[in-house]
Amino acid sequence: MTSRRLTPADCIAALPEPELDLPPGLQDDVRAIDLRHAALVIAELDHAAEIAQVLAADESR
Amino acid sequence: MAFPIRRAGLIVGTFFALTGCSADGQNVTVGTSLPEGTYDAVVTWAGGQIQTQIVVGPTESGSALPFLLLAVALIGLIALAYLVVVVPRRRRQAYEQALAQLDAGEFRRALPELTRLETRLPGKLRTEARFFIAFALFQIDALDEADYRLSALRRENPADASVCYLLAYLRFTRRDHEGAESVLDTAMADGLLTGRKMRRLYAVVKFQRAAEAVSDGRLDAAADLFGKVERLGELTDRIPADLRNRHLALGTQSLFDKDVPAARAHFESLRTTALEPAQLASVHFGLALAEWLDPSPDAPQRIEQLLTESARLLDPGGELSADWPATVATSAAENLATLTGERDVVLRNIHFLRGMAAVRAGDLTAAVGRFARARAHDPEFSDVHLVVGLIKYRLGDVEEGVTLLLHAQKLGVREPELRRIIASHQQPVARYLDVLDSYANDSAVLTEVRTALTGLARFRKPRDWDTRPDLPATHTAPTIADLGDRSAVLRERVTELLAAGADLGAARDLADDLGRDTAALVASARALQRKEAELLTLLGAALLPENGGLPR
Repeated sequence: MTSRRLTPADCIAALPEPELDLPPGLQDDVRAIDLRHAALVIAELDHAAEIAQVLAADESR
Repeated sequence: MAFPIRRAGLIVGTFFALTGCSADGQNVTVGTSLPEGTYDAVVTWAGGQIQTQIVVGPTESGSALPFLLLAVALIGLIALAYLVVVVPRRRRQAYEQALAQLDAGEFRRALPELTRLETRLPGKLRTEARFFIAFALFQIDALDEADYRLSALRRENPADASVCYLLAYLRFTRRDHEGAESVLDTAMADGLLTGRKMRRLYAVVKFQRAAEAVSDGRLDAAADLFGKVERLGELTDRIPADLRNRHLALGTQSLFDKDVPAARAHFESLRTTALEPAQLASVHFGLALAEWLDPSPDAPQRIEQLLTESARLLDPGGELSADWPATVATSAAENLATLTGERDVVLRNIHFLRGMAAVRAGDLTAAVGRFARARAHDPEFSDVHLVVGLIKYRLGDVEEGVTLLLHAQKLGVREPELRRIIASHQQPVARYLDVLDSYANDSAVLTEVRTALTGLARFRKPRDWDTRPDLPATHTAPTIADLGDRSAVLRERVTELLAAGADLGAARDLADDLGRDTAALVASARALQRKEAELLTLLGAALLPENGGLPR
């Protein structure tokens, strides 16, 4: 028999600390909406657009 | 004095119902008094009869009554002591033994005893036992029953912090974030969110809810939820900087929706607000993007001004322009030192957009200086090698331009224009080796094909020892377009080698076969897609009511 009886607070203390558990898709959603990470998507800059802009700039010289 | 025969019946301890008896040949009924004396009697009852003697003594000899009362009182006292002292003590011992089992993690063993004792314990202990039962149920994954019991306990005593915590924790564990949030919102309103553990759980639950809101496109709600997480002082480093602020989140959403006036309004509303530097940097970045999407007459200057301000807030001493480094290859040590973190990615994007703004304005020289700053924050950012390679190539620095484009290709760029430029500046054999290299490294190529090529691998180009490893290999099956492209490149190489005078008649035949097979494959793929479309149309017409099909 234990010298000190178990209390509800002991039970709570024994539980592991809750951790954030975002599924990968959800993590990507959160990151994708962050302005500073999504800047190039917002600006519609992908490889094709970048090449087109460089060619346009060169041709207009 | 007569002795009531009913009492005599009780004294002899009969437990059956005495329905009557006969004495001296007379029938007497229950309650009849008899004079002193000895009587032969026959006691009859429903199930039979017996003969006996009944002695009715004088009044003086009836002193059995006080003894009888004393005996009854004693028995009563003993029973009372048993009920008041012994039974509770035994229950308590059993209860404490069950708690010891609970403490030792023997939840399945403790549970039956706790359940048996639950209703027999006094008030406070009973409530406590119900909590322990719920706790044991939670531990053995009987979550529905644990939730039911904890909900009942919470209704009875909403101020019990342990019950609130366990109920919210249980719901969080089973990913019922909304249910957990509801418990914790009430606990917050009741002033129960005092401990760090409770605050942590609340923050984790709110963060999950915020992420769900982002996923559902409810950025307004997400910003509120992230704001609450921040106020709780937990997980603050995990909150995306731009989502901590409602206007920043909504401004970003407006940019995604291409609603530039709304985006401007959100960002402008924050310009005069006291914000931390990272958030203020995002305000400027957001306004620059709005200008990029909907340029005003002085857009180049305005974009540069906003992006420069944004960069200075994040990197106060950072240069705004730099010379493009003479060589592409970077040492392993340099790459390790500059592996991009959160801040570097943001600064890379800012400088890259500055560079693209200069390209758009036609100032390619200024653009290269800005791209050099983007590269400094992320040496392996393929876009910057692509764009600078193309600029240098178009400005006449063909050798460096092609080298940069090759590096961009190595980093994953697959644009036809890039392939065309590279192909036009390589020797036929070198270009054949490139194809061989790409086959041997492409996990989408069949293993047996790659194995067959291993004998040629010794001719492949050596890899620079100090470049970073290739991008993680992808293990996706090649698309029809991939197969078509690969086949076209390979056939083109054969044509170049033949043109260079190589004696490769068999290769020409095989290349012709490959060309025919590729064309047949592409034609089959197109026929397949047409059939799929036909089937979908047929199903749509049959199933959808607006097309005259069956109602649901």
